[in-house]
Amino acid sequence: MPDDHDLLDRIGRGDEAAFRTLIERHGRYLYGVAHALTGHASDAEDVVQETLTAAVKGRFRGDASVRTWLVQILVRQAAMIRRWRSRHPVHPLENAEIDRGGGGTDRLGSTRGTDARLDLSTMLDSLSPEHRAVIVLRELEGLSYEQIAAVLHVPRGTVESRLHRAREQMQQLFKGYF
Amino acid sequence: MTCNRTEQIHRYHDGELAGAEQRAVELHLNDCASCRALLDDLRQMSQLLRRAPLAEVPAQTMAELCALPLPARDAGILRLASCLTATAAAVLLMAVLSWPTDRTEKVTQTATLWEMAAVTPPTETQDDARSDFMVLAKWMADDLAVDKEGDLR
Repeated sequence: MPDDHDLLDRIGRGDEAAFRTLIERHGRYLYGVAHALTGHASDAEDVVQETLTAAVKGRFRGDASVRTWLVQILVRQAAMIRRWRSRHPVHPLENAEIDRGGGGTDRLGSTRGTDARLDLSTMLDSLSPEHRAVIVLRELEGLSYEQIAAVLHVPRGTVESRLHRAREQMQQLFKGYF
Repeated sequence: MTCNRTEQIHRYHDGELAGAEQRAVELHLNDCASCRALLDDLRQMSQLLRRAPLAEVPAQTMAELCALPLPARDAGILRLASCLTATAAAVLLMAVLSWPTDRTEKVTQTATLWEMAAVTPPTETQDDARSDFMVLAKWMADDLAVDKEGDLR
């Protein structure tokens, strides 16, 4: 079974099967992260598609795992789609498919109570898009402040303050789950 | 009561401290219950986030993703190359079209113009600069004059 680096090499030589293998290997995770970032199933799918396209056209430098590299691309793509959406707002009826994912999760305070496992999308739902991005890159991918700053094109201090505020907000919301 | 070292606790939790600063925070944690509680909360939150299930991708979405065609990797480079080639070809074409086909004709025409300028009688109000210009024009006309066969002298 080829590893991720081998897959990228083969994809670079036009190997369609290698591209499919990469999608099968990382598609579910990328979709889950995209859903947590965007809160929309359709946006999540768009983000993942754009991420895969950008990954094929981009260049993997090998300074992180392939999955982390893909997530970095995904975070940028989510931001681009968000900016596009802000300039092209959807009709309210077209937005009726907003959901919280296929895991059957609910917002806080639902009848399921605190026994239900919180999914990532629900946990990040109350955060701004900028705060979601730093939480994903720090908590899921373990990037340093410098690395996060490079991905988001913001100063390191901005990363710190966003992370700080995001955590404070989540502390208030999820104290009972600790 | 919150301690004023909360930012350092976040950095410590994220492994962003080193050396003396890290040791200082570790010493502080021994004495500060508030910071210990914050660090504990941060650790639990991180655990919760890492273990939180992700939204499941619908089967149809996964099928559509797997059916994506492999994007052309160097499409952008090819487009850029074709633009540059087209630009270079256009510049070359313009240069060829504007290149004088008969060089002597052009020189003759030029000489004629300078000659006309040189023989234009100066007016009474002409200043020194214009006089100099006329002298220069005549000199250039003389220099560019052609012989009977149309060749440069």
